[in-house]
Amino acid sequence: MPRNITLILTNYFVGIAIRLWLFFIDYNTIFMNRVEISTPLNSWRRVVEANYISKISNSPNPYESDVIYEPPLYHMFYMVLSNLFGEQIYLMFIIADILTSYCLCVAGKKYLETLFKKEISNIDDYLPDAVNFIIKEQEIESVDVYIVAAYMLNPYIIFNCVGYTTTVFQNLYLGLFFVGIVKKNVFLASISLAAAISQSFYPILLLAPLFVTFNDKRFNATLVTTLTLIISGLILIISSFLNPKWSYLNHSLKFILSAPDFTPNIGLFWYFFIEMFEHFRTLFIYSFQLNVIALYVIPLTLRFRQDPVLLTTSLLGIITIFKSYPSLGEVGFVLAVLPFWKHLQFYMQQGLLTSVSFFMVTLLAPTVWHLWLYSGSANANFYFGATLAFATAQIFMLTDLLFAYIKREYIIKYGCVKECDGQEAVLLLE
Amino acid sequence: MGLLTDPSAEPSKFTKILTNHNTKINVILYVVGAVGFCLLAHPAVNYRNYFSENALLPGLVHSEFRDDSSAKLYYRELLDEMKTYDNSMPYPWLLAKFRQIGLEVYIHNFTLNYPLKRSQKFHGKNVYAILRAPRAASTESLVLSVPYRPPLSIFQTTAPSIAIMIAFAKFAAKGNYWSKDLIFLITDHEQLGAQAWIEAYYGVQCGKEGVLEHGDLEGRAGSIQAAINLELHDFNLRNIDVKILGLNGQLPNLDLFNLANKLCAKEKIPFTFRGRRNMYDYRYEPFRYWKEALHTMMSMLGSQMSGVPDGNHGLFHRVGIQALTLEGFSEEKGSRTDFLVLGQLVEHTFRSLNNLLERLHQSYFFYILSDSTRFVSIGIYTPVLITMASTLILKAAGIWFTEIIKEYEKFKKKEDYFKNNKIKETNREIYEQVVKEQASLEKVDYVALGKIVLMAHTFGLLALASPPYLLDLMSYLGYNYSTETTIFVGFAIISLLLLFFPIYDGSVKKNASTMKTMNMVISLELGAIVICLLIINVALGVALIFLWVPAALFINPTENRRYSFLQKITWLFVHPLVLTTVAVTIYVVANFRGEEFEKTMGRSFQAASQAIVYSIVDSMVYGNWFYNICLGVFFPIWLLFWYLAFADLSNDVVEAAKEKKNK
Repeated sequence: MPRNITLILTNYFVGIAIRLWLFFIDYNTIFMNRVEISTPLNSWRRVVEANYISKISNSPNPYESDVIYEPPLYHMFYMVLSNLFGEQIYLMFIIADILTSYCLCVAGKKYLETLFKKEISNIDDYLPDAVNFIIKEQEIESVDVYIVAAYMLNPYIIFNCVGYTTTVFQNLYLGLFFVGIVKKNVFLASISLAAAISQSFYPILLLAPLFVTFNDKRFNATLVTTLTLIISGLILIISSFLNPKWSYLNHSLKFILSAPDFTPNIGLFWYFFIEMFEHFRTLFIYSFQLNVIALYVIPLTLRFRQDPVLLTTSLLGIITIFKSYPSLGEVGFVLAVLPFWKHLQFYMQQGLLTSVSFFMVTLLAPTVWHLWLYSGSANANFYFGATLAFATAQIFMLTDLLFAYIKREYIIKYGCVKECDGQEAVLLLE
Repeated sequence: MGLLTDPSAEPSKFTKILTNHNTKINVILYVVGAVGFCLLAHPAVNYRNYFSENALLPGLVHSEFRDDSSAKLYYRELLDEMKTYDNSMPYPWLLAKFRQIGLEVYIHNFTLNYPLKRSQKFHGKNVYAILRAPRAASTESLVLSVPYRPPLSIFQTTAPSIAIMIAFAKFAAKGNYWSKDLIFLITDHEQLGAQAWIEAYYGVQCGKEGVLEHGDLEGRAGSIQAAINLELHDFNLRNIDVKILGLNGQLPNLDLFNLANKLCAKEKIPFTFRGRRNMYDYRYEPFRYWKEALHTMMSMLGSQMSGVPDGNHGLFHRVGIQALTLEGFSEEKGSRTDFLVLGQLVEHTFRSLNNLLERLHQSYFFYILSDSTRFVSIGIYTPVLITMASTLILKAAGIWFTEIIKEYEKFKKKEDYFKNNKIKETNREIYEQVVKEQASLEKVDYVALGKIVLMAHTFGLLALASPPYLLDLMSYLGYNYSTETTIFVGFAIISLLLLFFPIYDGSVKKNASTMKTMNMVISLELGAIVICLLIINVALGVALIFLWVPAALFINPTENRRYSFLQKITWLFVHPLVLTTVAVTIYVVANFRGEEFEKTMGRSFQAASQAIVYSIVDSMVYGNWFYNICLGVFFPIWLLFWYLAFADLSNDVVEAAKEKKNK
C-alpha cells in the first residue's frame, strides 16, 4: 500500500478508536452537558426528548415547548435515524464524521491539484523570481493525510461527536458543499447548501461562493442561487406539512435570529444581552445579526471571487465567530479545512499566537466555568473573558489566513523582489 | 495594527532579541520571578486583612451566652457516656440532649464501599439537629459541625466541642433573632461522614459512582450560607488555630477568616494560622519578620498542594459553602479560656453570620496567607508566578521564531539573487531546481510526532486506570502483599518499563527539526497547564513552577553527550514517583530524627506507598483531582520530556558545520 493510504487509514482507525473509547467511558455525559459543545440548537438530548413527545401525545407537536429548534423535516430525519440505529446511535455520529472527513479529503485534494495544474501549465508566464513561490508537487502530495488527521483527530470535532450534537450533520452538509464547489457539481453544491441553510440559517452567506463558482459560461449563476434558495424554502414548506402550522418557525428561524436563550456558550451574544437593558434589545439584535449576515460578505466576495473555496472558509469562520449559538464542532470544522492552505504556511505570521490562545482557552474555559458555577469563587466575567479570547484567537487565525493568501498572490504576480524606483520597498496594506 | 497587518516579512527587533538571547531572558525572568515570590512575604507587598462585607457587623452585639454551667454538665455527662462506647457515638445521649432542647434531630446513615477492595464495607451514622429560624422561612441556614472522636480514635478528642455545641444550641433555641436555620452536625468517621452528609444534603455524588453511598436525609433546612467546624480539644485553651485549606486547594472567602480572627481577638484568645503567629515587629526586625512570614506562606502552600482538606470544613467548599475549622489546643496552666469564653465566641460568630444578606462573596477567594493577619492577594502573586511560568512559553516562542527567521533569511537570499543576477535559465529549470532544493530539506515529521504525543498520553491514561487491575493481577498470581505495597511496586514497575519509551522510533530522534518542534509543543503544553493550575490550586502551580519549570527549561535537544546525560539525570529526579518518595522521606526524616537508617527507609517506603493509596482513594471518594492530574497530565508530559532528552542532534551539528565551511 502507498504510504499515504496507510496513514489515512491509521488516522481513521485512531480517530474511531478515540471516539468509541470516549463514548463508553463513565464520564461521557460531561461532553453532552458542556455548553461549549452542545447549544440549544444542536443538542441531541433535545432531539431525543422531542422524539419522545412525538411518540406519546396524540397531536405530536414538540414545537409548542422549548424543546427542539430545528425544522420538523430534520426532526423526522433524526427520528428515522434513531429508529434505525436504536441503541447504537453513537455509530451514526461516527459514520457522519467519517463521511465528512472523506468529503473534505476529496475536496482538498481536488482543489490543490487544480491549483497546481493551473500554475504549472502557466509556468512560463511568471516572472523568474516568482517561480520560486508557485505551488510544488511535494507540497500537495500528502495533503490528504493532513486533512483527514485534522478532522478525525481534531479534539474539537471529537468532542462534538462524542457530545452527541446535530452539528455533525451540519458539518457533513458543508463538507458536501465543498466537494460540490470544487468539482463544480451544481446538484451536490446546491442541495447540500440548501440543507445547511434550512438547518441553521447562517450558511445562507455561502450563497456568495456558490454564485461565484458557477458564474461562468456553462452555468447560470443567478439561476443556481435562486434554485438553492427555493430548495431550502421547499424544505421549510414540507416541514409545515409535517407540523400543522407555521408556528414551528418561531422555534427555528426566529429562535436563531432573536437569540432568546442566554445559556452561556462560546459565542459573544449571551453575555452582551444579559448585561444590556431590555429596551435596547431590538437595536442590538439587529446590529449583531447584521454584523454576521451583511457586513463581511460583500467585500470578501469581491476580493476573493477567484477562489470560492477560500471565500467559503472565510465566511464559515465569520459565521462561527459571530453567530448566535456557536459550538466547538463548527470551530473544529473551520480548523479542519486549514490544511487546504498548507502552502500558505510560510506567509502566516500569527501561528504561534493563535495556537497558544486556542490551547489555553480550551483549558481555561472549563476551569473558570467550574470556579464560577461549582466553587462559587469566580463569576460570569471570567468565563466571558475566556470566550472573548477564543473569538479573538479565531479572528487572528482568519485574518492571518487571508493576509497570507493576499501576500502569496502578490509575490506570485510581482515576484519577491520589492523595488520601487531603484529603492527597497515595503509592502503596506492600507 | 502592526500586529496583524504588517506584511513585511522582516522579523522585528523584539523577535531577534527573543531568539538570540532566549536562554538569558528566560533565566533572568525566572530569577526575577523567584525573588519576587520570596518578597511576597514582605509587608510592603501584602495587605493587612480587612472586612469587605459590611453586613457581617462582627462583634457588635452584646453577648448573652451565660450558660457555661450547663456546658460543663454536658461535658461531664458526655465523658461518662463515652466510656461505654469504645468505637462509636453515644447516639441515645446525643439524640436525647437535642430533643430536650426542643430541636428536630435526625440520624443519617451512610456506607462506604472501599474502592480498592471489593466486598469491604464501612458503615457510619451522623447525627444532626435543626433549629428552625423564628424570624424567617427556612430558606437559608448555617452549619455548626463537630467531628465525633471515640476514645479509641488516634486523633485528639473533640468532646469539649460537642459540649459547647449543645450548650450553644440550648442557648440559641431561646433566641428570637435567628433569621437563618441553624444546623448542628456531629459527624462520624472524620471527613467521610461530613462528605456523605453534604452529598446527601444536595443529592450529588462528588466521587466515583457507587463508592460512597450517601443515603438520604430525613430533614433539611435552607440553603447553607456558611459552616463552622469546631475541633476544640479542651476548654482551657492555649490558642485557637484556624484551618482553611479545602478540597483541591480551594479556600474560603477571606471575610470568614477575618471574622474568626476578629472574634478571637475580641475574646482575647491567641489566634494562629498553621500553628504560627508572627511575633516579630517588622519595623525593628524586618528580616526575622520576613523569614517567619515566608515560612508561614510555604507551610500553607505545602499542605494545600495535594488538595487534601485539613479539616471537615474543606468538603463544604466543593459545593460553594464558605467554611473553616477552629481548632483549639489545650493548656494546663494560665489559660484565659473556659466554657463561657468559648460559648461566647461561638455565639458571636453565629450572630454575625446571621446578619448576612447574601452569600459571602465580597472579599478574596484566592489568596496566600503570610500571617494570621496578613495576606497576599491574587492580583499580587499572579504576575510574579506568571513571570516564572511564562519562561516556558518564551522558550517555545524562541524556537518558533528561530525557524521564522531562518525562512526569512532564505527568502532574502533568493530576493538578492534575483535582484543582482541576470537570469538565464527558463522558468521550468528554475522550478525544477527549487523542487530539488526543497526535497533535500529536512522536514518536520508530524506523523511521528503525533504518534509519540498520542502514545505518551495513552500511557498516562492507562497508568491512571491501572490500580484495580494491579490488585487483581496480584491476587490472580496468588501473592498476598498489602494493597499499598502492590500499588507502589506496580507503579514503580510501570515507571521503569516506560523509561524505555525513548527506544521507540530511532530515526525521529535524529531529525533535528522534528525534535525542535516537539520541544516547542510540549513546552507550550506544560506552560499552559501550569497557568491553568495557578487558578485552580495555586499551591500545585507553585510546586510545578519550582520543581518542573526549571528542569523543563533545562531540557533541550543537544549533541553534547555530557549535557545530555545531565539532562536525563535532572529529569529522572523530577519523576512524579521519585518526587513523592523524596518528599515523604524528607518528612519522615524530619519527624523521626535519630532513628537508624534502615528503619527510616522502611518507614518512608511505607509512608510513600500509603500516601499513593490515600490519593487514589481520595480521588474516588471525595473527587480529589491530585491523583488524576498527576498521572493523567503530569506523567505524559514527563514521558515526552524524557523522550526529548534522548534526542540525538549529532547529524544536525555536522551538517551545520559543513554549511559554515561552504560559506
